[in-house]
Amino acid sequence: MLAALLSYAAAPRATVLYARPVEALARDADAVVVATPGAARRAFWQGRRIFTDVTVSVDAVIAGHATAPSEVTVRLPGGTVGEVGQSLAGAPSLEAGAPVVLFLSAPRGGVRSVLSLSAGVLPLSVTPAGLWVRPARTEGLTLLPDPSPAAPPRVVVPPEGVGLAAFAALLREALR
Amino acid sequence: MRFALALVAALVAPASAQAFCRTTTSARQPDPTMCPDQGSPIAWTTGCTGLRINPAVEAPGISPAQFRVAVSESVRAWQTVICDATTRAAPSFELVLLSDTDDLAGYEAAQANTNVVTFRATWGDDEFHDPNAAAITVVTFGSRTGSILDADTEFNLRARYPFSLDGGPGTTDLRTVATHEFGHTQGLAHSPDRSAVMWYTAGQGERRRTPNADDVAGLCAVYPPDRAVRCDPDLRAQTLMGGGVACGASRRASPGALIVTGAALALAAGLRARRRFVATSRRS
Repeated sequence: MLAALLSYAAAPRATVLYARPVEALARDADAVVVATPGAARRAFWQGRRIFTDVTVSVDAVIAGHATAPSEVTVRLPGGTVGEVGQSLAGAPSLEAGAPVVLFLSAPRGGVRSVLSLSAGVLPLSVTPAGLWVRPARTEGLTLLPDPSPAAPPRVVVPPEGVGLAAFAALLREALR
Repeated sequence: MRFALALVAALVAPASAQAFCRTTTSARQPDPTMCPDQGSPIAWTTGCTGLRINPAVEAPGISPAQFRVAVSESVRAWQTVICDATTRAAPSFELVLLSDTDDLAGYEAAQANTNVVTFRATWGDDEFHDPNAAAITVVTFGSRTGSILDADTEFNLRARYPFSLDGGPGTTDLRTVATHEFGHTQGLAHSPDRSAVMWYTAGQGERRRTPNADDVAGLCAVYPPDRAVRCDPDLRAQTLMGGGVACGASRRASPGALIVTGAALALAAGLRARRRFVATSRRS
């Protein structure tokens, strides 16, 4: 068992977030997918806030309700419209062409959200050994420990990363 | 669990940490232990800005009056920053807590905007209000100028750890979080200094209510004492159109609120004048 050093799905810059274990985040998610964000972005005002829609290609489904291959629209908080920018510390950022593991909400009006802000995005890197899952970037997040009474976390992403296949197997096992 | 977090933090902390960081227009700080490396730093271009509490939502165990005191103390923690111990020079910017408002968080272009501080009951209804977030501060800024136009702080009424006034066991210390958030309101990002208010983690019940030397250095760098702006009392009572309200009255502020505002501003101006007088006296 890989436990011991747990990796909290990182937490939120002007945002205070509870750092939840990966499997807890997966349980809350409607889908956990391997996806590649596209370059097209659409930022818009909705009420008094700016949102940005990003189209991502779902390359594989690790758990939950999604199909691959497919394209889904993911809505991010913040963005820039004309001369005005709006930022939420800890908001997820999806770089075009950079594959990631996403913890997604159920679609609302055909659009999905990332759970737990940037904690719901695990970067993937290409290595000679294949795709590796890296710990979430805790950009903009102030972390508080997750108050859920915790069995030791079962899914671990060490700082150096873990193979995607091993990560997926571990996560599926934890969700059983 | 705190140990686990500390361990994770220790693993990711750089060996030679740079001091305080500033928020930039890129809105990204990929690693909270390192400063943002893209975009332009953002800051208020005014000499002050006002925060207003919207007391519509009450947190269990925290009365509106107690919430106001806690917010006031967090504001004061930044107001009392001194940049130079010898001259007693203060930053050329200050937060001021004004009278309550019924304005909502958010920004509307071409209108006066209020920097709202409030508890929010509904979370999970949009991408800003993630249920796992205990508090957020949304900053609106000029994308070309880096000038902050508005900053709203919202506390999650249904936070996993309830907010408390004393940071007791099983709770989240309201003043610690508020002081941290108001650092962001002023344009500070997370600091690599673990004892700073702007450090990015907080243990359960942990209190970090007072800006440390690194926080002070950050605020003084963003708003150096010799910056040629001041918080004009005449402007403070006005509603500024076409951008953020810089210490101005809410567009919905009542006449009574304006009186309170005026009194608060006069007091703040008096304190600032006294600090400058002392600084001038010491220099001379």
